[in-house]
Amino acid sequence: MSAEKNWNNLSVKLKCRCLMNLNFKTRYRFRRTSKSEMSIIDGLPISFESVTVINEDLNPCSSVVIVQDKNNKFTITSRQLYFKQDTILPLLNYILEKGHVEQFVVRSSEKDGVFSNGPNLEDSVAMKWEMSRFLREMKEKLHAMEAASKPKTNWSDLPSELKMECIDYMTLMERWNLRQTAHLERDLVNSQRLFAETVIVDDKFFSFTTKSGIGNFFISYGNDLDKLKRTGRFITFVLQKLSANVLKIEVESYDMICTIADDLSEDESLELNTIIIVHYCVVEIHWWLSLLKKCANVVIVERDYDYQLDYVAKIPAVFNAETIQYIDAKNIRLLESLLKAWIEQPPKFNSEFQMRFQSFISIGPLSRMDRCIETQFDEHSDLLFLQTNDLEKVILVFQLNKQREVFTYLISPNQEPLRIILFVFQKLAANVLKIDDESYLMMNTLTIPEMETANLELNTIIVFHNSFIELYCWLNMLKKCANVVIVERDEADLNKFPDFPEVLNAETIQYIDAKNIGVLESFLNEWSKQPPKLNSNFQMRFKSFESIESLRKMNSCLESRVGEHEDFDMIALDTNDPEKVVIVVQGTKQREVFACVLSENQELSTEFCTWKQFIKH
Amino acid sequence: MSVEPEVPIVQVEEVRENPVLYKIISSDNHVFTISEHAVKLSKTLWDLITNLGLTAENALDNPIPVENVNGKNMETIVQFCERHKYDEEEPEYTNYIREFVLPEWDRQLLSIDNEELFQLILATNYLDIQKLMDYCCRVIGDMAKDKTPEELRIIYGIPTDAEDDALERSASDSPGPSG
Repeated sequence: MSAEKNWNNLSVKLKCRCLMNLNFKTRYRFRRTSKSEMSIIDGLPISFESVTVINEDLNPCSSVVIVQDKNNKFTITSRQLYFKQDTILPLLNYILEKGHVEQFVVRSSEKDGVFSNGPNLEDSVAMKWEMSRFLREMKEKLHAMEAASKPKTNWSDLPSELKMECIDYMTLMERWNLRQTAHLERDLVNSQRLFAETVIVDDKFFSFTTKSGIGNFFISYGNDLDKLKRTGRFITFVLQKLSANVLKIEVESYDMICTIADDLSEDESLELNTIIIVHYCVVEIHWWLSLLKKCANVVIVERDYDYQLDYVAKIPAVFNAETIQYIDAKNIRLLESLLKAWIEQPPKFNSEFQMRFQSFISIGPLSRMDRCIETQFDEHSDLLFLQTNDLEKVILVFQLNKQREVFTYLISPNQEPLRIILFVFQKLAANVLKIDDESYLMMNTLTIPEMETANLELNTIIVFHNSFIELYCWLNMLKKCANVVIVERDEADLNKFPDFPEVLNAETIQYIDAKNIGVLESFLNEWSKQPPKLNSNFQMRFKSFESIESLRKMNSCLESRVGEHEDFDMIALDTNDPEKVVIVVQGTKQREVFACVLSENQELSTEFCTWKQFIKH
Repeated sequence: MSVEPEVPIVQVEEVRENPVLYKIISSDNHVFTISEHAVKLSKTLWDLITNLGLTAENALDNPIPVENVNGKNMETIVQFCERHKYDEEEPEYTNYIREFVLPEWDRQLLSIDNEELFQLILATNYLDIQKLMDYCCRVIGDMAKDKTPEELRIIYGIPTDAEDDALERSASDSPGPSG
């Protein structure tokens, strides 16, 4: 229904004409909808031939009112009119104050034809007086009943600190419902911080997830503007005191921003680990970022090509973030603004931060920045050193050619430029780390104590092996890694790398372009020495072996059996440890050898199927 | 301090093993004995004991009156403290939603009606027993599960704003302490 065509837009005169035709019961219900409807209905004349109250034990909760006017007779119980905890008192009050009553009767029960203590009066003044007295008595009875039925101690008796403690245990929806019970409860709920893992505000939906999954919430409003407006309040409530790991904002609709912004004042605070904003319009991004109280990582995805985001640097929470990613950027103004803001800041304890831009075609334009008085460009590694106006501070920019990304680090001059890379490795937890450093540029900057303190937690490490020393260094820094991939460039001394526990503990090892079987043999030796583990099987994938037969010559194997299969050669090797056997399979066409170390009690066929799936993957 | 108990002493099973016992008298004159380790869980009681200088020798002769806690609640509190007296201290909750599984024994102990539960949490707050307070808050928080605002109002006994205003008015109409 459009806003122009509803009841509220009717004139008072028209409303009166409509309401005149309603019967008493409907009119009375209508009267309770709002104050303006109440005043209109109270202005309408009303009269009754008789009003009878059936009032057992003066109990207002179970009373029945029978109203007789010229045409109709209505029987009204308290339940018909209100919520069940209400009484008929308001109805009698209304009749007393607004209506003309010709007869007022109180009976003890419907069947009882004899009037009890109640009056049966026809004199209007006396009747009004009597009705007032009756109402007063009824009210007193009601108060006495309420006092008796009310629990002595309840939520309202708890001090605010205790209430807040209890609220801490409530999920999002429980808090939202409690918030709607009374003003005091709303203030208490609003004052408590709300913790979440990921919160997503989107044009089409809103999602709230917690670490444990308890209290997760999802609502979709699609294109329904009314539903969105109703949800807006809820979103505002969530954002008021939110502490989340990730908040992702992808809102294109200006209406939605207004809906949320109306209720959310700028002194509200978001405490986030990461904020991801897909940026569509100027007002919106500024507004979201100004809500930030604390945020370690700011990610801005550029969608509005016309506007330049250089003012972002002026927002303190953004500037204080440890990393800033600016994706799909088209110009360097943002970098320049950040530099300017950074130069103007007093030195901080942790003043280095990273910026990551995508879509720059070349690193070259950065050298023309006004803020820089000198640049040194290193073509070999696509490195750029910018000396800023503040002589205390220099900037290092490097570009990864293939990915067209530019990483920028702001560093102090007493730091060696390449050493900033070490900062990344000190506590790195990544899915994939790929090392292809033929010129040993990075390795030269690392000292042994630094390598010893570095802890890499990776899912996959891919190392292009140029020298044993280099491989040694990288594998030494591994704390945890599920998949190790080594690409052979120099075969010298590679049989030593299974000495590293993290490599031996990896679930899969890929050894590409291998030239000898020394590595496999080393692995077998190490593995045979290890005590049995719960998940002791691992896979190795070698390339470039010409024949599986050469594996037979391995010293560590006591016996070997060569089997034949449709598509591949298979060899089972019994090791010195009778508990363990090794299966090696060669896919003839691919010229690859898969080795899987497994216990005797494992089914060979199952293991092989797992390999095949792994290869396909 | 010598308060003569009028009702029999409530013995809690677990207390017998501990040689140092203290006596506590509830507001309705029930007397409870509690071991030293257990009473330490209540910061209020332990402060009181140390300030009064109660020792192993004179502890049982000097019962501690606790005016704000009735016998029923005190019994629950003593049971709880005896049960958890050797528990390791738990780290304080910081920046995350409080989520833990309430042990079955404690869930049974706290399966009481709402009024008693609210009285118990007030008593716990007064006696400053952090662990029991956390558990009570958790149970009260759980009461809100799957409830509408209207149901919450009934369960928690929260007056509507209109009712609250009316109460406020009637309170201001009454003469008050100054007459």
